[in-house]
Amino acid sequence: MDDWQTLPRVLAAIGVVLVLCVYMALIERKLAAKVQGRRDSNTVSVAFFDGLPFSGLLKHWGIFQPIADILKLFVKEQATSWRQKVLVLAYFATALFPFFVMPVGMQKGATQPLILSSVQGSLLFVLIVRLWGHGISTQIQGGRWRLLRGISTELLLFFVILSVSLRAHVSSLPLTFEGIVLAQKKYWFVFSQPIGALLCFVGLCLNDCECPYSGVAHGLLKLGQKLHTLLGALLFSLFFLGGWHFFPGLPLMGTGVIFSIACLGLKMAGVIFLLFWVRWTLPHMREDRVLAALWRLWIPLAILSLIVNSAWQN
Amino acid sequence: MAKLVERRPLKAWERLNILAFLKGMRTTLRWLLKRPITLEYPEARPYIPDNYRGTPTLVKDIYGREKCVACQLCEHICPAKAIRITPGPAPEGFSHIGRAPAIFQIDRSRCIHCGLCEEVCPEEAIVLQKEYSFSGTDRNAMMIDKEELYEAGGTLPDKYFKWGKSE
Repeated sequence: MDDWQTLPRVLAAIGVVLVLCVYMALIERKLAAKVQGRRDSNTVSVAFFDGLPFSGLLKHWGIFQPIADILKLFVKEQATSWRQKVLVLAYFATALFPFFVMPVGMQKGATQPLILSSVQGSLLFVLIVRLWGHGISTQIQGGRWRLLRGISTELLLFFVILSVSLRAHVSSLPLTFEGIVLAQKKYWFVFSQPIGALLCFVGLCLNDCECPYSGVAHGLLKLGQKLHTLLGALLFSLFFLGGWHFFPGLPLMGTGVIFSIACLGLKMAGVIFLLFWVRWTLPHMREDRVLAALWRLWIPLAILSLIVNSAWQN
Repeated sequence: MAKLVERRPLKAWERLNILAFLKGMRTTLRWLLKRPITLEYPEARPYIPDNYRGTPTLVKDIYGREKCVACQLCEHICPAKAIRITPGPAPEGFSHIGRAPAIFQIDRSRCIHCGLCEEVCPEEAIVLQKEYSFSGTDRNAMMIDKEELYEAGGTLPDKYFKWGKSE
């Protein structure tokens, strides 16, 4: 990859991810409305667009709602202190950066997956950046419970990553996302390590940050949350759902790179739906109970499953 | 006597709340698959049954005679005192009736839609319609006089002509 190509690629990736997040927010709103037995946004329309075909349908689906929401954020009261602004930007960055080192697809017969920058230790990078994000969200939201929860969640994910990368190591594949996905060519890890998948999912469910700000800072924080959800779905799909593999047992059907991205996207959509479903079943979890469950149940289970997993493989 | 419910301590696996969580997931999924119970009101209107008590209006018979004979029973029974009637002479050719309303006013902002006026009316001249949504910029806009009441009421095509047909 030539140097002059890097910037447009990065910008395109950021654009795609952000648009995905904005419409994910819309879908989450629709889901929340459904769960609560009410209608979602269906009144926003664009000026001079009303008479055109499908405009009524688009209005009914609330397609323009995110645009209105974003515009509204600019006229609300803004965060005033530099500390707030920097914190929110940093949180947003921690949600965005992991996408640069994660693969999103692979052409058949190619040696490299579709990835912006293929670095050694990308697994650890993602974990550390996520941990940093938890630290920042603690600064934003306040409270030691929050930090403890972040650390415990990442500890859980750490054990999960260890457990899945063990498999990749056994099949003498590189310890990257790509290696983990390639190790699932025959069967997905969700079938061979259901406990690990459960643990990973629990870890991803516990990842949110309440927003105390207004204005653009609020928007960035919300977007950061959606980015984290998207990142979680990508992590889960890569670790346990076989990444861009179409079906367990089949290698890569079709030749196009689009097909592999579509496979991954479909899995991510499923995981995102599950995450939203859990979120709107348990909108507020008590921090002490979350921590108790994490340290009494999930983390011991993670350690146990790691031990069993490594013993079984040797 | 109140029923005593013994609250036993939760077992270890119950304290994990896994079953409760799954029950919650089932509930939310059920709601996800349901149709929303709210209406998109101005576009979609609710179903109004035939015996709905909306706004009271005056009606004419099929020959265009106003059925009200200004007996003032509705004015007297109205618990909210929303009706004001001033009797006047009967129309041409109906002098045997005696009288008809010269002024008939209903204050929609006072009306409680109880339907007593409709029940008490011996002539079936006042009928509660299905209309339920009004707005006005001041109180006077909610005072409805005779012409508007007949306009909103229209004709009641019943077969009984107690006072004879129009000549």
